[in-house]
Parts: sequence; structure tokens; C-alpha cells
Amino acid sequence: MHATLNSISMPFKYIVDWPIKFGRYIFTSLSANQALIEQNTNLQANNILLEAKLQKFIDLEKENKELRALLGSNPQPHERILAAQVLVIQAEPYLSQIVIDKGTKDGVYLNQPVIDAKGIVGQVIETDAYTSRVMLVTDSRNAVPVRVVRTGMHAITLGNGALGTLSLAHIPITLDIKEGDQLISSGLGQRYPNGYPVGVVKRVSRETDNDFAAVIVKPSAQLNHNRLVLLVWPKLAKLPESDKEKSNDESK
Amino acid sequence: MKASNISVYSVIGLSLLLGIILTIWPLPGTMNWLRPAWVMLVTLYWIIVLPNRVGIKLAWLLGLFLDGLHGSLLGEHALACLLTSYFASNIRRQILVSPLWLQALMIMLLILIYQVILYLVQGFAGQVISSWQYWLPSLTSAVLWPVIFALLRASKQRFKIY
Repeated sequence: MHATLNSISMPFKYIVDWPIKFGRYIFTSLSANQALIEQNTNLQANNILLEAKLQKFIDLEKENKELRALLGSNPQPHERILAAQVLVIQAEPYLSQIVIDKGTKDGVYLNQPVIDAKGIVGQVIETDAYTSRVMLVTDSRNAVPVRVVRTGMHAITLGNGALGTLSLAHIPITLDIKEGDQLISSGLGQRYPNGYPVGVVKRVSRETDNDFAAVIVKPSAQLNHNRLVLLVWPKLAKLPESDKEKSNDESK
Repeated sequence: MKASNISVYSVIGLSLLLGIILTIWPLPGTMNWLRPAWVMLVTLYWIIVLPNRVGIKLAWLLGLFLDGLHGSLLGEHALACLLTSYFASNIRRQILVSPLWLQALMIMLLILIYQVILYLVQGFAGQVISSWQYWLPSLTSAVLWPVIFALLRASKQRFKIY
């Protein structure tokens, strides 16, 4: 039922998206040549920087693989990635969602993780042939299992809705966590891939009459002004057979 | 001369289509909170002016469509549209004979009812809307009502639909 409704409303999303994208295209075509040349130079410089970083990364990845082989643990598999355009439409402001121009015909599936250049954006909650709806990490229904980079401690972030921030659930006041701590996804929960930035701790308030500290996290991904996001097909570690059956039963 | 059915429904349909497009047209930053309930406003106009053409059944269908468009809970907007149009169709005569400023006030109340229903359903679904800005659209809807009323009445007279 919801799927049918979604495909009925799909053309309307493109009706709004096309003229705006076209307008932007015209604007770029008419904008001064000089500005484009400048931008091109900047981008090339940026590209060289990133490639240089990547060289180091490839070396580290190789080393990591070898070390993992020595330890006898599974190598971390590569993930397939596809770029998707964000459709220029807006939902109700109290729903933290975006709509992208890739759907089931591109192999998008329900609960698929979505990232951008800076970190985790959210997960797919609805998909039809040509569009998908992505629930942002700031949505109050969205929870991401994370790890604090500095201490290796595990936690779960919860969205704060329209406020555009995340909070950490069940952090004892005695725990070592402070402003500026980086949080990366831990891959637990089998939904988000391991090792992508989720956010940075913005504020920690410990009140003595409360068992848990209130930790506010600023999401790393540029949730509101993205034009491109990336869909990830993570290769998640396989669950042991018995657990898998159990989780299948639960989902039924 | 009375217009044919086709032109009547194409005018109504076009106005609703425009409402739908304005509903998802991107607005910068905080302006998004001010967006009036376009589809509801257009539907309310037609329900008040042409009750034999547009009824609460169409309002319900439009609500269902809005649910698909926003990805909100299935039936959330449908319920809100249905109840609001039901109230509107009950007081349509009073609205019609009122001066424009009183009309705008009544429209504000109707949109407020629409928003309260959405708020309650969202709350029951476990997503309480905490921002006070959520209530602004009923105000902007009332402010824009005279404009919408004038535009739709002009198109109604231009195409002679009754």
C-alpha cells in the first residue's frame, strides 16, 4: 500500500526537482568562465591532495590485511559504493529525511546505509523503482552503534529530531568521555558498515542527581546541504548459523 | 453559460497540482517552517465554494497522497485532511458570508485543527514534535488566505465554473 502511494507520488518529486536542477544548470552555464577555471584549478589541487592521501591509505590497507592474516582473523572486505543525487524537494521539517534519485532498479534495498564525504548520513527506509527515502541519523527513530575513537568504548547514538543533533544513550556519569571525542560506526547491529565517522561530541553534562550523563553529538555528515550522497553495499560479517535463524524468526 | 465538466475538473486539478508542487518546493533554512499547508488550503477553498464538486472523499484521497509524498505514517495526513474538511463543510455557509479577515481567522482555526491532528498522530507514533515553530504554518496560512481566495475566485470566474 505504502509502496503504491510512493510510486504515485514519485513523478511529482521529479516535477519539482527538474526545473530547479535545470535552473542551476543554466546558471552554471552562464556563470563567468574565469570562475569555472578557478574552480577547476582548486578541484585539481584538491584531487592531488586526496590522491596523495590515498596512496598512504593503500599502503596501510595492505599492511592491515597482512597483519590480520597473521592474526588469523577475517580480512575486511571491500564495499561497493554508488553515488546518488539528492532530489531538491523538502518534506515536512519535523521529519528528518531526504529523497535520492536511485531506487530498486539500481539495487537499492531497505535499511541500506547511506554516507557522504564526511560521514554517515542515514539509512534507506522506503524505496520504489526510481527514488528512495533516506532517514537521517538525526531522526529520533534512528540509532547508530558507535565506538569512541579515543577510548574504544562502545555506545549508541540516538537522533534528536529537528534539533539536528544526536545524543548518546546510557552513558554512566563516571565514564571517560569529553568534548571533541570522535565517534565512528562500530558495525555492531549489522546495519551500518564499520569505521565511518558518525559525529563529534559537542557537550557533556554530568548532573549528580542523574545516573547517566547527557552527551550531545554533532553529526559529521553534512546532512542539510548535500547534493550528492553515497549508497553503500556493506559486506557485513556473517552471523553464526544459529543466530541467523533466530534473527530471521524475529523478523517474521 | 455553464462550463463543461472537463474544464471544471481540470481547473480544480491544476490548482491542486500547484498546491502539491508548492508543498515540496525547497525553501531556504528556517523558511521551511513557515510553509503554509498548501494542499489543505486549496482543498478548503473548493470545499467551501463548490461543495457539490469537491467533498471530503477527495480530501481524504489527497491526504493519502500527501502521506506518500512526505513518507509520513500511512493515514496520518489522510485523517487530518478528512476531519478538517468535515469541519469546514459544516461551517461553509458561515465562512462564505464572513468578511475576508474573519474568513482568514476561521481558516487559521481549521489549519490549527489539521496541525493538532498531525501532532497527535506523530506523538502516538513515538515522535513528539518538540519545536514551537511547528505551529507557524497555521499563521502563514491565514495570512495568505486572502491571496489564495482572490486567485482561486478569479480563475473560477474566468473559466465560469459553478
